[in-house]
Amino acid sequence: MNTNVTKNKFVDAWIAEMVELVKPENIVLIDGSNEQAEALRAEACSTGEIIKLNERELPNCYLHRTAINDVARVENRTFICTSKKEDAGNINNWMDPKECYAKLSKLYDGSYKGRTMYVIPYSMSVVGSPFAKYGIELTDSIYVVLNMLIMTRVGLNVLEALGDSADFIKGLHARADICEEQRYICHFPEDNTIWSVNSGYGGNVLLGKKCFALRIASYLGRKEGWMAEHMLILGVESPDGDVKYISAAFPSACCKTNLAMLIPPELYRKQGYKVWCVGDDIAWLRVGEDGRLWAVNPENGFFGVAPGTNEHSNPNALHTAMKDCIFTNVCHDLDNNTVWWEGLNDNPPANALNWKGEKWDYKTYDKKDKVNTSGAHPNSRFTALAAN
Amino acid sequence: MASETTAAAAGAVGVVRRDPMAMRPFVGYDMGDYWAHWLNMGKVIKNAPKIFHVNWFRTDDEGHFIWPGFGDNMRVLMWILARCEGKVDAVETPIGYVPNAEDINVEGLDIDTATIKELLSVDMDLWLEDCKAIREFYAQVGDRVPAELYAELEALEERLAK
Repeated sequence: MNTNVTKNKFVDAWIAEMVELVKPENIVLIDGSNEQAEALRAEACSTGEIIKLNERELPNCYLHRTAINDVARVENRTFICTSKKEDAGNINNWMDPKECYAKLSKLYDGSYKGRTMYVIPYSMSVVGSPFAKYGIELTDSIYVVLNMLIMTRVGLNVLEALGDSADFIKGLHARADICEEQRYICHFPEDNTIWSVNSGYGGNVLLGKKCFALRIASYLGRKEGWMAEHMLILGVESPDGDVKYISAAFPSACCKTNLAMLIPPELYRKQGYKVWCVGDDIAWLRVGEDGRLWAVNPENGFFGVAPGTNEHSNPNALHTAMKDCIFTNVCHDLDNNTVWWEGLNDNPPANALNWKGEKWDYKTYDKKDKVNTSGAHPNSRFTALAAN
Repeated sequence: MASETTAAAAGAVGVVRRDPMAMRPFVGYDMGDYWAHWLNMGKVIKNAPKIFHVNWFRTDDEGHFIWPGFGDNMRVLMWILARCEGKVDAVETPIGYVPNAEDINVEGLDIDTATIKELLSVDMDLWLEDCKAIREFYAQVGDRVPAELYAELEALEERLAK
């Protein structure tokens, strides 16, 4: 198999090594083109990996359901593998890197048998920006490719910007058997490497997000003199044209997206105040030449929590998610082939499948047991383009 | 900062745990070293931004959120911006400076100044309890917690105890 995929000898050498480990049927370089993305969507639809939704109501939108044991990040299976345990600290889970590579290699061995290896060259931040960092993610999941195309900047321009450099983050992802007991998300900051196996969900597998843009990046930031933080960024313009930016750190599912996308109350709108979202999850901050702190959102899209998102709580997110969007683990309205989630409106669909893909009767909803009785899983998501 | 766990990560939901800068699951190295990095950056940034702490989620006795949130959070952002520009003063409390209740614009809201006062109130006993939890957390983080953080904690406890 030809593993000289990118013309960068460091990338290709690593790909060759990984190919020998996971043993794919073939290799496809993701070039960022719409043609290729369309072909991948069609292929994923044909296998049932994703479901195309009502083109009129939700143009270019798709639904995906993950395995029911694979619906959230798994902190107890997430590891920081520094060579010294004390460098990972007591709050992180630590595993010796050699032990981790050995242990996970057994899980990766042949895991891509009969499958395609997708090579995703991506950038966190605008390609060519002084803030930009590049990564390559290898995955066997079209769902991952399609999400990365939204959440990061993907394409041949990334490889051009990387050039002959060895300065990129290596990310290996394999769905394997989606086996919970063998699920690992491991970071090797000293090797610029991320290994994720046995998950197909969100922050565990979109390696540019939490894995790279927070865990690896915070490590790099400490080394290089900048900061990677779990923060939204919003801009406020006053009627006289003065612009200020606010960055805020809230835990996951505690309203970063809603704050970043807020629509000012009437009293401020009529005065001429404007608010816009620069980012809703991650900020990379550097000291500028002027001695002030400058921030970018290194992501290209939003991976927002769907439940609770409605015309009152976050109309901006709702409208952003109505085209070119991927929904994960929401409720599927079978009557019109659209989606629904708790808190969207007061009309749960009468003929629907829940997040597990089972026939769902909304009258059985019990807020004391949301996970088992909801139409949409409490952590169900929309993946939407920031440009929308 | 402490916050309740959510469905974003597998496990029990609603458990209060310490989550400094919301980075608890995301720091790629030792948490004590991470705090030291913040302090070092603070020395390097000539014009550092101001830092504010918010709690959108205070509840009444029946567990309902007191503050409407969503777009109305802009009222708090506006106070923050005014404070950064020196256009509004603040009340000194043991936990730091909080707004004068009258300076939170409630025009168009079904909320009165008394409720704002309640939202801004500092419960000394609860905070002293929380200081114990902070101390436990520092112990858990280990021996790389910067001395400055312990100094701040002691100063906070002294102010609360008065």
